[in-house]
Amino acid sequence: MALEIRQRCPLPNGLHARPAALLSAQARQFGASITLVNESSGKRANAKSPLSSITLDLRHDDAYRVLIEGEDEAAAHASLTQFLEVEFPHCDSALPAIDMSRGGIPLSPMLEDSGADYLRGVPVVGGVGEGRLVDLHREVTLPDSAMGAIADLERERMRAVTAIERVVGRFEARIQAARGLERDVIEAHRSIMEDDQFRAQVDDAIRRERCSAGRAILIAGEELSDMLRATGNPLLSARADDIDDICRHVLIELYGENVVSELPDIQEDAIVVADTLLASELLALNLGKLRGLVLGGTSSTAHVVIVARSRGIPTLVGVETALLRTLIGSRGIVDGESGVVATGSLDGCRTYYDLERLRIKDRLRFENARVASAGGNGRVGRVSMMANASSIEDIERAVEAGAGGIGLLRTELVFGAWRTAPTEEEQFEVYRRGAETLEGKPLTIRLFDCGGDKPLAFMPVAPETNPFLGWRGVRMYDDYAEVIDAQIRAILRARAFGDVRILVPMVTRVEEIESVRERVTRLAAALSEEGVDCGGEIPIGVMLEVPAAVWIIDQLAKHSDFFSVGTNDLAQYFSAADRENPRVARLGDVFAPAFLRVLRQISIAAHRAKRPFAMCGEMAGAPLAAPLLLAMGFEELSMTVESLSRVRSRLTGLDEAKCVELLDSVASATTADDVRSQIGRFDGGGAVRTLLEPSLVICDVACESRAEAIKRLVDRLYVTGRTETPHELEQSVWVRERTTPTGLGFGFAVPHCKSDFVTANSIAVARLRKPIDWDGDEDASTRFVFLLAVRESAAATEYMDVLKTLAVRIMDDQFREAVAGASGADALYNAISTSLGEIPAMTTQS
Amino acid sequence: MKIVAITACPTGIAHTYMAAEQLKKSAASLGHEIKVETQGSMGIENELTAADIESADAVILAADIAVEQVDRFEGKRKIEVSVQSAIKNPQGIFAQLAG
Repeated sequence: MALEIRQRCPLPNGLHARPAALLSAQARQFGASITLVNESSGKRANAKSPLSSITLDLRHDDAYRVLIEGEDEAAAHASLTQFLEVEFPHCDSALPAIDMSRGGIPLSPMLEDSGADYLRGVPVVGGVGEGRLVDLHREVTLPDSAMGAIADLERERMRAVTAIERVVGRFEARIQAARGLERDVIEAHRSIMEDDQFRAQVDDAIRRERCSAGRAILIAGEELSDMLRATGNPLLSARADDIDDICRHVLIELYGENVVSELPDIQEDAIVVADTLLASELLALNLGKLRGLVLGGTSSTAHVVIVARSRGIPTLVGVETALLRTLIGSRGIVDGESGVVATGSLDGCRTYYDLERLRIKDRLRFENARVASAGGNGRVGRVSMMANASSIEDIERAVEAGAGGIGLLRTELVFGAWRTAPTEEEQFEVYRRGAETLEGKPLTIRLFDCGGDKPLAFMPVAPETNPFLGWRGVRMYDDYAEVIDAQIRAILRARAFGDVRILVPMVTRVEEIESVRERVTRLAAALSEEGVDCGGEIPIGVMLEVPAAVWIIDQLAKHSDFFSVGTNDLAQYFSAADRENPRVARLGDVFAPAFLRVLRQISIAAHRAKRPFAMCGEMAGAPLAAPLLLAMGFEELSMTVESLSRVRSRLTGLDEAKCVELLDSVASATTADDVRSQIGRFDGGGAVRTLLEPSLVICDVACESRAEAIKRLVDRLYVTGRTETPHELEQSVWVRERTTPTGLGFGFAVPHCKSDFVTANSIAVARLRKPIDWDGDEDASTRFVFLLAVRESAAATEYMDVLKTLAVRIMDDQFREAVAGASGADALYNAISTSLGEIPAMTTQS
Repeated sequence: MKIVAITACPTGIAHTYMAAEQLKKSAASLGHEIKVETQGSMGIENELTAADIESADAVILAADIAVEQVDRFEGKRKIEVSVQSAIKNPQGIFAQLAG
């Protein structure tokens, strides 16, 4: 009599390769037959075969049944019930969403006008690369001996089994040597090869078709791929590529390398064009010369894309590769930002991509100069500007962006994909690298912050009704003592390489921080006895995110060296509102008067307890909050790398006394909107941006077209931090430009727009090396381009005043002579600013 | 001479004001008195009063679009030109008026 388990599929991405493999590993422990039944389709599958299971196409929340029948069915039932309830729901995490709609971003007019031809695709890996187009189309040709009717079927069946075993063996060896993503790919392939279903289908094909092992592999492979692709589920289609991949491996094992046509040997910069590309093929190419990848039908979650992403190779999928056939051999550019591959006459777009690279470099330089002149790297006045990180790459980017250190390293994201706990050694490697990259700047490592809603495979949590209010963070540590001890030891050892600190998440009571401190002391003593250098006593900090902790800061301070406010969770717990729930999200507004009072309370308590306090939640990266946080005495703000320049710019030059006045005045506000509008109007004596500044004036500019001139000036706004969205701002200027061209005659043009994509009202000026054609310009000899960008909120009259004044000045011979004759950018800036002097100062705070 | 003028350009971003500026400069250099009403995207600025029009010897309409309230100038000596010509050759306009 069969036993049954009824379930709803809890997996965010449905039952695909990875969870199917785990389930089959469980099922194989038992002799009983274990069948999965998809309730809605009625389809059945063998739970011991991952391939069989995934063809069920079980999606999130689909109802299914497990039927168990056999001698050990009771044991199997008990074990599987446990597995399905406890581990199974958490064995997979939602994949990063790839925005498939991104294929439609409008191209910069400079690209459109450049004369190149463009083919659209969906960008799945960003970046830009140029190379010669190389066709990758590999044929499989079986030797004659493998074609036609076969006499000795037994022999072929044995050959198939042997070949598969050998390939599995080689994969085992490669898995040992491989790391990270490559390892994942090989593991996935191995699990398919060991799958009963796969072997059964190959064997079946040999007997049914009376054919060779090679032909059977091809037939079985095709059957399985077709089945997977037919589900329409992009995750399963991606696995179809894996099947093709391993079939190739087995064929090569059977008949030698010649069975598959050779991979091209890439000696120079290349763009590979293929309808499909298998992950193992990509890995076999000379990746050092691969500058871009253009794929036809590949799914965005295919392993080949994942590998390309890890190597930073700009990649497009969904491209009509047939249209590129005739262009093979010519040069092309893959633009993984806009989602196009450019061919034909590339000079114009090369200039565009050069300008793109330049603007990013110049922005960094501009920011660094600003930081340097504000005195003190990584600080603005008293405030340390730190970055939040989830990986070593993030740490590297933070250092490049001039951060003063890392205020939060989210270790559960660093090791998020690991299925077994990283060892002390493996963690030490990572933390040491982080510390070394920072060269003495602080590295605040947060202990694993996981739980029911943020599962870590190696610290599983039984399903809870309310995971957000459940067993998470520090609450779990006693039950995962070994894992946490290993982590703490690794962190302690890393301290020998830099200013490493520990941050403890989810602290609610004194006992919790006491327990962590006790652990640290014990482990540090043990290490010291082992003779391991741990660089002195390690600071331990408490993350303030549970409201309860805020009221006992004085008591917590006795066991901790610093505090860091995690505003994301604190605001949610504090206002009992889920920020993912659109109906209530605004209740968790960090600018709400109640929340500001909590922050003030924290600052007062921490001051009294003489402990430094920092902020690592999103609020730290909000420029609007900066004056208040400065007034409250936050010594460290840790934010995304992208927010650093905005917040730096907001903090620079702020008058602290005025900020304290602002803090007092918002104390009487009764709504978050009121708070925000008070801050918005605040003139803190800081970061007042004038309409024109010397960095916005460029001279002797080599420029071929109107589109190029506009782009160069928009880029100037980006470099000086007056826009974070240069592409969108460029589009806004063109909307206006297409309505009526802005050539004024006398060699002047005044492209302009009213748009909130600019963060401060600005004029950027370019004097071109030689005159260009500007549509609408009677003289067809434009040399002086004035770009005016003002915010939506700027009063209409102010905006027109500027244009009007400019237009009137242009009528003045003296002005025209001064502009034409200025000896360089500085002289030009002086000439223009004196001339436009009477414009009411259109200053804005952003 | 006492002259009144209207400048009016369809896009109204700059040419209206450029033309007004040119007419003013030109008039000054020739010793004429002039008041210019601009009709641009900011609406009507420096509106001509009934008295201004009454006492004027001539009216210059430098416009690429229909001038608003053109009936104010009924019975006055008028010259109609394009905005561009006001910008490029204001002297020529005054020469016409003189002759």
